[in-house]
Amino acid sequence: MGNKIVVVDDEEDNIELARAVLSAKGFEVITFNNGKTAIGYLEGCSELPELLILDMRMPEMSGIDVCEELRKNPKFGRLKIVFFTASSDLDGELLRRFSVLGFIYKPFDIKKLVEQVRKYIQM
Amino acid sequence: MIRYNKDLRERMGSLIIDNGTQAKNDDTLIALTRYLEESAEKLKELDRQKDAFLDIAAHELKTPITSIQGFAQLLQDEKVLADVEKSKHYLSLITRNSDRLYYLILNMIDAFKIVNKNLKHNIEPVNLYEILDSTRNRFEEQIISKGLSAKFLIEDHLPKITSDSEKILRILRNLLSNSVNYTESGTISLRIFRDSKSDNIQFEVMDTGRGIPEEHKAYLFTAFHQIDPALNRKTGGIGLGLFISKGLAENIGGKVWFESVEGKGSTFRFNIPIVCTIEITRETNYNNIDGGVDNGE
Repeated sequence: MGNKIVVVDDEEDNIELARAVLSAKGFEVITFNNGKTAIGYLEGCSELPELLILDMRMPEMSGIDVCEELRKNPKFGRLKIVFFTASSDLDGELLRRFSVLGFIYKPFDIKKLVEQVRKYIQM
Repeated sequence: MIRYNKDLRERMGSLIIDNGTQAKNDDTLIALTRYLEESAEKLKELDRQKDAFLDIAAHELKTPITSIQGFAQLLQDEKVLADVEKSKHYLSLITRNSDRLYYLILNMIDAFKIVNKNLKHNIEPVNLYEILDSTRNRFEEQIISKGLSAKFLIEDHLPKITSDSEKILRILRNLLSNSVNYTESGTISLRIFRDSKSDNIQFEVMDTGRGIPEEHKAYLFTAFHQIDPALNRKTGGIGLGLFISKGLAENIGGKVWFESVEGKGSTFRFNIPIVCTIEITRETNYNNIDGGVDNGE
């Protein structure tokens, strides 16, 4: 099993934090600060990541927009996606609509982040 | 809301008193309907502002907290601590995000004080030359390091005025920050001069930046309105700077206005009266007015 994770977030400091925490636990972490370049990377990827962590609230392309775009392509039909979010009032309908596994809530405990990522990968 | 209710009672009263005259009643009803529609619009706007605030509270406040908590937790790891350079870098990220959080909270508090008309005054003799120097110290290097020209100009022999220097500095900070963020080439200038027509002191912040698109002009001073949310997120803005600037200027007896051509640049101006027109209240800190603070020349 690979250990590649892609994190997409327009907040550079949050990206750096996720990379520092997850790479210290042996994950290969690829990061992007916008959805468009992340989609470009994934389309050219021969081996898909184990997990795509998408910030929901990004300018230009939101996490939902990225997800919608990816799900149109059969190549990404089985890609495991979770939303990164600061909102605590989101419902499961959103997850069902885009076949998203769940949420990772900000702010997060760094140990919990690692646990959650491992659980989502095993789903 | 209390004022609305009083207006409404008066209008309803006139409707009942005039019940003998059908035509007059029809006019009153039309006016009343229009009034209710306008009130509903105002309430909708307030509701929109409340929703915008909650949305921002959820997202914008949690973003710096995520970095502060996360990097602080990483620094509890002895392996990370052993790496001095990495530790220093993480500490700088904590500091940066703490500052960002602090200014977010400060802006939100000010925005609410403006909405509730609850801003306090700190009236004192203001030396406009010191205002210019302080602003120059804060922005000149930042403007030049972006490859832009900076001009800080002030008319000779300006009078000492009595006003709130902290509010003047905050307005200038907001206007110049916007200019720096939205200008990629050319010049940013600040000019302070006496407007002889209105006998006010005028502050003019001019840039050769991207300008303001027509469709945004009407909403520019509305709370939480953002022209470029992507850029705002990078700079830590939340669309309160101009709303606060307008509120602060009005609070010290002045006003803010602008001219802008998309693709060519913007000029923001605000003025303040030479003679203090602020009503001195019990909350006003007016000690400095009589305190003989010497600002020098």
